[in-house]
Amino acid sequence: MINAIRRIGSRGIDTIWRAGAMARFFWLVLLNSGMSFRRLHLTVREIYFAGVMSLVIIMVSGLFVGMVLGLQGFETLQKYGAEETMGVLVALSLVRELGPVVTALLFASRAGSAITAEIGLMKATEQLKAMDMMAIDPIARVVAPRFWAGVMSMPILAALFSAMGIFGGYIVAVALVGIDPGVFWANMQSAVDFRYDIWNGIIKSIAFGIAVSIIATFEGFDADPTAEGVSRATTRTVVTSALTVLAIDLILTAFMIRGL
Amino acid sequence: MGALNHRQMPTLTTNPATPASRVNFVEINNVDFGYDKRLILKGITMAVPKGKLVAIMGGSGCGKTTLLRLIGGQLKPSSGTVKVAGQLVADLDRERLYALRRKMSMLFQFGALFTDMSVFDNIAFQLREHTDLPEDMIRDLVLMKLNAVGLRGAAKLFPAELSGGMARRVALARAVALDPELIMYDEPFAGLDPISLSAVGNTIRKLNDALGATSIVVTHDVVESLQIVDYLYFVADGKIVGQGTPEEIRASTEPFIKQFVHAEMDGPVPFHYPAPKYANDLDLQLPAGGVSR
Repeated sequence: MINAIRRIGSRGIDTIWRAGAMARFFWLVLLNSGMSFRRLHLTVREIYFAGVMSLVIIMVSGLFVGMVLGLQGFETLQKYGAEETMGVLVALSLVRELGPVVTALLFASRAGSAITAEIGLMKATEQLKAMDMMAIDPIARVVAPRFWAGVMSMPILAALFSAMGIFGGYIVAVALVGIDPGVFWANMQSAVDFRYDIWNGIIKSIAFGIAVSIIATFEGFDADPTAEGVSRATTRTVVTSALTVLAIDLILTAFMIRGL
Repeated sequence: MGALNHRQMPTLTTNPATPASRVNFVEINNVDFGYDKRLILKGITMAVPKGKLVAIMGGSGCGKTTLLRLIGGQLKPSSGTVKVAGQLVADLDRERLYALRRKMSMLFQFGALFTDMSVFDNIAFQLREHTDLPEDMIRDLVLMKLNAVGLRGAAKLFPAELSGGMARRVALARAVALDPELIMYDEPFAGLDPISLSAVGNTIRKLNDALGATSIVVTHDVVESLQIVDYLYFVADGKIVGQGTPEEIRASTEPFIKQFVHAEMDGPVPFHYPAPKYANDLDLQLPAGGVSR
């Protein structure tokens, strides 16, 4: 019993310690971000690896999610004779919630884990130490460009996810259900508000981008320099990112919902 | 390990730490270092004169690499001082430490080449980061460095395509890319075949002389070290247990140095890690008068 309490306490302290270390790491990344913008090609290169290389999974997933939303929405809406508002349902679900959240989860799995593994392996093979001995700060040269690439990529990927999702919903609504295309778009246009829906979605995706990118880079930088250590760090990136994204989503949504 | 107490060591001549001998580029004075309460280095004092090639030798885990990290400022001593180019390394802030590191370079045990870059880009990395040289001049410099280690033809290869010996030579070329004043080599001979080993050893000596640099080689390869270095320090159990020129080391009768140089299995450094009696571990009943180790 005592041992169990001790273990829980130890894990709790460890979690708090890691959160503190990550906050300190975040601050260091911000302080050392100058190079990422002065030498933009470093960040652009990482945007290619983190963002462009994630396009396929994001867009295909967006399409499928949009189609599923359309089908599920149709089943419910037709009960109330409101199937013509399917466009509104699909668009609002995607732009406000599913676009940023699912994109962040997919980004953490695809790009976040890759960033952690890459930085972790660089640490395990002493590449980071070598860079430090060359008087080149690894946080400025390796971490910051990857962090900013993630932050910049996420809103664009989320927008593409939502766009593909809406297109998926359009296919289901127009081609499958037979809703008039004009009605589909007109309803959507009148119901989706730029400030309230789209802008809030963008804010969410930026917040998720910051969270996933800092978790991925921190876990890589903090990984034990062994094969097992890198493997554990990669897993932690995906799990911690997922939980953090969902927690941030809850907090942001609570602030963004009107009338509460 | 009582026999390894450095106070009992025979005094060897031409210690480069002797004040009047030369200008020392690296001076380590009475340094202790440890993690938590476990001391890894105990009262280390050594000096590396400018322009010389000095080896730090000792068994695995005796603290040799830790010494390099202290010199490079990646670690701070628990007590004592480490001076490089006249500056106390532990007292430097990050900016001044980085300025000092531009004068030094380090070859890591496994090369630590950047795996996402070609051999050419690995060598060019520091030139691009630290200088404003035009790309065609960087190209010429990189090819010259690669030629010096015999790998000009491998410029377009990636680290994954290199053998262990080639990777070590590329790392060597990268280490001297900016013509450093101090070059530190961490186990440069580990895991190399005899041809690569000889090539790396000769290159280290030639580069040191050609660049007028000061070099520190951490190794446990006695044969190669005795051929190329000017002076050797022996470290065991975190202490300096012997030192001298290659001739003095070869002639030394001191038990630890003798055991190390002649690769004897047992001696002051015992073959067996401290353990209970073997017979006890195996639950054996020894006959009367039987011997147990």
